[in-house]
Amino acid sequence: MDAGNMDMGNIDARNTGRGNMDARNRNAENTEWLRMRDMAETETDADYIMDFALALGEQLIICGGELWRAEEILHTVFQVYEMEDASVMILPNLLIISARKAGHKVVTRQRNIGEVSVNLEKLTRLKRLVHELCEKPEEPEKLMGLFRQAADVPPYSFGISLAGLLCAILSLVYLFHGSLAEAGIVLLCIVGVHGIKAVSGQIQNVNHMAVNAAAAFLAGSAALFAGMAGAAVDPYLIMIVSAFAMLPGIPLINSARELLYGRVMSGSLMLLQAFLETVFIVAGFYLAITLFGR
Amino acid sequence: MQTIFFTLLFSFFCSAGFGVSFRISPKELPIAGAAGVLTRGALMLAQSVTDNRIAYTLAAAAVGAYAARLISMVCFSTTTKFLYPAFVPIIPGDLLYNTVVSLVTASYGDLAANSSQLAQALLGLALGASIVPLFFRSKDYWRQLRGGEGRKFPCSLFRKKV
Repeated sequence: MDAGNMDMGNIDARNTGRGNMDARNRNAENTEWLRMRDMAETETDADYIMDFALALGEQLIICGGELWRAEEILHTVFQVYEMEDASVMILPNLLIISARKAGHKVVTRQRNIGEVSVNLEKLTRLKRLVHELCEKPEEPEKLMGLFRQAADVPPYSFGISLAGLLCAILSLVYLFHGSLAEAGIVLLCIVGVHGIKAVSGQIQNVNHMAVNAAAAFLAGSAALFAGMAGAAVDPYLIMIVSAFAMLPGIPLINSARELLYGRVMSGSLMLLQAFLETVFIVAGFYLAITLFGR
Repeated sequence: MQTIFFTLLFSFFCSAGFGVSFRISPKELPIAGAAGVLTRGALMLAQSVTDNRIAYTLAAAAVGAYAARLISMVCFSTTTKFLYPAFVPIIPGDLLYNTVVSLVTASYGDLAANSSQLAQALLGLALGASIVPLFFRSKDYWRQLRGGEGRKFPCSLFRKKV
């Protein structure tokens, strides 16, 4: 017996067997590769849709929209694009969404939401975009481009926003029966508060509640000094009116609406946040009164 | 009468001013101010009828929400854009401030009174703001029950299960 030949024969037999196995494996691998490729194409669509929904939900919240309305809008987007098992969870500082295309795995997105900066024009344009998508859905890969177009609404300049705030606050001085001198001091306080907030907005990782407390301390000190100098009859009126520029009025109302709609977690969080912000503002005034008040 | 006129006038400027802070476009600022005037007028009217804080806040909030809804339908815009300026005159900012002041200064008697008033104001606001959307959704509900079409933009009542 020729071991080599036998070996060769055995090898040949093994090779033939391996060859058949390899061919079967290659077919299986090709099938798997084709299936993965098809899945990847569909999952890319899902990725486009989820990225759009995440960015949309984040901006709806940041621009001051109601949380329950943002949840409805995201569900509508998922419905338009036939995403199944859609789930949306919105808290004041967190957004989690998940959904899947038919027959594919669930895609999840999550994002921490930054500080609210009310921009009703941007909110309107984003909602209008969703309305247009309901009428005529665009291809998923175009969604982020459409989103960027709709969200391209820069805030007003420092001067214009300050002018608007001054107009509002001076009207409040009249409604609280303040004098012209007190209105002038309120004007200075508001300019200072707005300036501090604008400067702090440029600095990263600044606690805006602490900024509010600092601004309240400065406004309270200015009001008390004006009272001591005889320029203001009622420094406390100046403090209350200055506080209106910082108090979270809209989040307070939205928290009550959230609780009424049965969204206990988000409503409670928003109410607690509004209270905490107010505590910091009052603490700033209280410190000024403690140091400089009689 | 003069006092009422100036109160409404300054309510207009107050709502329009806050509208600038809320980044409303300049051509819609007068409309936002007008919504604030309507709300303030409704508040003053309701306060002349009843002393119940929940009742007069609810009435003013319902008028403000309804006005915002109508304006948004005419201007092809969103309700939120005019709702926030409309609510500016009735935001209980002073009650919130006084509540926290009494908490910080440990004046528990004032704290109880102020927090009670604040809770009543918030309840009235939330109820008033919620009544109007309920009415508009109910119209769609009844229309669909009669066999008509619902709104193209689906609301939660008719969203098909996914």
